[in-house]
Amino acid sequence: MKIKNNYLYVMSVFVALIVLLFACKKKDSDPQGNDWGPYKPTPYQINVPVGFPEPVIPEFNKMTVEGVSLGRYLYYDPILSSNGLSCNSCHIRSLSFSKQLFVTLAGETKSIPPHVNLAWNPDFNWTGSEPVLDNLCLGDFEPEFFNTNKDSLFYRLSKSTMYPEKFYKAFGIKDINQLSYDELKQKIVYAISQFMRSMVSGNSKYNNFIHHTAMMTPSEIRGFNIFFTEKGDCFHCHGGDLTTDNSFHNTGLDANPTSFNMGRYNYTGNPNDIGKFSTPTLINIELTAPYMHDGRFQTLEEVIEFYNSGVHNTSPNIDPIMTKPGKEYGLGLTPMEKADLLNFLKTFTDTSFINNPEYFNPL
Amino acid sequence: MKTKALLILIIAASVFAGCKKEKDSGTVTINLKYSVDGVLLEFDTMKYNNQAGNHYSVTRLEYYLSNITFYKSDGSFFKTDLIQYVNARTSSTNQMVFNDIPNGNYTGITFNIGIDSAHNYTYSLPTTTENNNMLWPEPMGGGYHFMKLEGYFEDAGSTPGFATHIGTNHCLVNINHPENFSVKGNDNNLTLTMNINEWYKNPETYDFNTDGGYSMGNMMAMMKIVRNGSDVFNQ
Repeated sequence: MKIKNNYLYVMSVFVALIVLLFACKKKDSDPQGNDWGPYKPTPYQINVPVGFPEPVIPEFNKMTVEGVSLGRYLYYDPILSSNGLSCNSCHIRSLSFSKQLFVTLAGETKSIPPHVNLAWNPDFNWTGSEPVLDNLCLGDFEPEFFNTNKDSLFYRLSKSTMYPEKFYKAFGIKDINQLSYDELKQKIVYAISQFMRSMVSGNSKYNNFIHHTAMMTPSEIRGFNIFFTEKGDCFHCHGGDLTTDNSFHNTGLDANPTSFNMGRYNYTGNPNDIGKFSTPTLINIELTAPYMHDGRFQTLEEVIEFYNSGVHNTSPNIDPIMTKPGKEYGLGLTPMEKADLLNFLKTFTDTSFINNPEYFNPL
Repeated sequence: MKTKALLILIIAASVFAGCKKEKDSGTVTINLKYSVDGVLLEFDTMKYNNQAGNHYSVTRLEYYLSNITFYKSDGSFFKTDLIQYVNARTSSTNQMVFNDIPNGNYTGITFNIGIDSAHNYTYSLPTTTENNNMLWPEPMGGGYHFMKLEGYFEDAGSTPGFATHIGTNHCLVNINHPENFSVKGNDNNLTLTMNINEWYKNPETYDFNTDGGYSMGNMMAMMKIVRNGSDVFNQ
């Protein structure tokens, strides 16, 4: 009897130990005990369109499926702001992730660039003042934009039903609250940058035409020929598949540029940069009015007329391409040629880009 | 016994030393530099004068080098298949390293500024940003710009730009550069210096005012630059 009791006692202790062992086994989980499985992000491969260079992906923020997904949610989510704004407030999908204008606290009116093919941009903002996309959005937490409340941001993200898991799966972060504010902002911006790099447009009629997979109308072809010959000479800055040389030029917008119109000079302090601005992409240019860095032209017709007859040839650092002999008084385009050029510019529109479900608001 | 072992060791060492293969090729590194009549080029500075008397500055110089061929004194040659994009403002593009150049005494290098007709068609080169920015538009013949040389010049109180671009198969520039050097399994450094003013003189004076500061689409202007270009690295 005693032996039997002893046996039962030993067995009970053994079972209790086993139970205890399993109970104590630490799950790969957050402080609330959610089990998200192992941190194993899936590499994200950009589908590079034919004719495009290799995209610029920094080693410190390699793209993953989970990172792009987190970035997409954050891009559309006002959870980042205290004023109801999200990235999408100023970067609207139907406008090629752009919006008309933005007025800074300093009173400068700026045209908002579209978010398209940013994986190929070597620098950002109209003056190239930010060379790293992964830092570009850090300024958006400031009062001028999101006016983010630090405590509220931590609270709302960590109490969210989805973000803790998404941060874990994208970056291996088990507890958002263990991050400093700067670390949290950086991770948010990394994720949004990954999403922005995933936004690729290479399917406009123009892109397909130059790779011989689409036809253009006779008027569009005439416009193409103006654009890609010395007649219009647009191609030196807006050539190739990306329609930008990723450089800076003064195209003679102002005879004597001042303040924001001094362009890249405001960033570099180099007098040779006065009046120079980043060459914008022309992809979806039809959707991104108004035009130029300050939105001074409301329509593409106005832009064409500027290059046809309004260039200030004596502007400092005006690009050498702009002052060619015989064109001192403009391009001399006829009304029909201007209409052809306009029709050609509309071939840069890529509706499959703005209608791509991968870029829709997931919320 | 001891003497015998020593003898074997000496023979073995001799055989080993005898088998040591003499390296039959070396490395030649070509460094590209720029001057204006002997003075090192400084970008964005209005301080140069060409033969026509144009006072000018240089803001951009991009071009391709290709068909680089090394000639030996016995007439034999070693041809490379590199097509090198060069931006004078980007130092990394101004150095070309050729490994496995056969040993021998060399008397010169020939090459092209531009791309030969077999390779000069749109998208023949890797689609890098630099190559894509050098594309020569299809409506103007396709292929690539062979060279973009741009800047400003003074003209009756104003400073218009000039853009002497060359492209299309007619405008390939042939360079024959005499240079004596020996390759003996070692590293060799050669420096080629382009004199910008040579594009605008010898045999023909090129004047931005009368020939036009903008050569693209103007075959006469381009051909004048091409003819002048054959000795840009020899002065």
